Amino acid sequence: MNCREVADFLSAYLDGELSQATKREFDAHLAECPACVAYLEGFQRTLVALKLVAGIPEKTVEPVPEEIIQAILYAQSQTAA
Amino acid sequence: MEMNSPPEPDRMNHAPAEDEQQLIERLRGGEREAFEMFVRRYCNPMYYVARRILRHDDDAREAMQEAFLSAFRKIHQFDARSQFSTWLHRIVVNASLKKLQVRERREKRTIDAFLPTFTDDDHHRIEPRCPILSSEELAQRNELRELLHQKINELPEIYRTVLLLRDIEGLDTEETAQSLQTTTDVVKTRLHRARQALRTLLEPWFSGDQL
Repeated sequence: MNCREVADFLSAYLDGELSQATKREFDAHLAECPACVAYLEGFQRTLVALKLVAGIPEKTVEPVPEEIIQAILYAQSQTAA
Repeated sequence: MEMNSPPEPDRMNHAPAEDEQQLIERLRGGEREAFEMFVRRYCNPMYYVARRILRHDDDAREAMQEAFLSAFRKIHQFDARSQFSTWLHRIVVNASLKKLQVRERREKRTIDAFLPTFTDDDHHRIEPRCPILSSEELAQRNELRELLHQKINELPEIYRTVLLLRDIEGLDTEETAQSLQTTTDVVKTRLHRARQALRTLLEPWFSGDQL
């Protein structure tokens, strides 16, 4: 296995989707390639960061303005009419 | 091992809480006051879902409006196999994606600039940098949330959407493929590239350049 393949298979590797044989090749490459270890660690931090913010609003949540609610209620009343 | 498994929607029976069940019954009865209660109860989280996907206030408003009207029309189809909020979440996601499709057709940016490059003999052309922040330290960084969303927003639309649906909104691969009307293989490929691109965009921060 080479660095390009390691980069391509990273999600599958971390998700446990590689066959045993491919995983062994993957691990063997990592054991001798600091560049791929650095790449893997950065990739793992990315997944951790995503997990940390999943479900948390992008910015501080402010209540939806009343005008938006009124617009939805108005649209519904027009549909019902 | 699924490193970043979003919360799996529970497939077991999800009998709604009593007041929620009453609300659903009143919605089924077509009560106008119930519709207002429904909108007020769920508009905040749903608006932020739509805005996260669409990145545009007016588009998010329109998507949310369409989603609430659609949910009201389809309320008879809700069968308590999922949580009511999960059911509504999917409707908001789909209404937002519909709006996004128009934008995607206009956008032709590629993700290539954010993917790793390799020499002819398949070694990294640019040496990847090892992060100095541990996973625990990441959790302590106040700026993480805003920075991450800022970087996600730099991704080309089709990759940004898959990453948002899978890693932020918590849809699984199958649900994401259905929402985007594509295959699970395409979802997996795009998700991997999106994560790789995000890694590239976050590398300077992970490596301490911007701490």
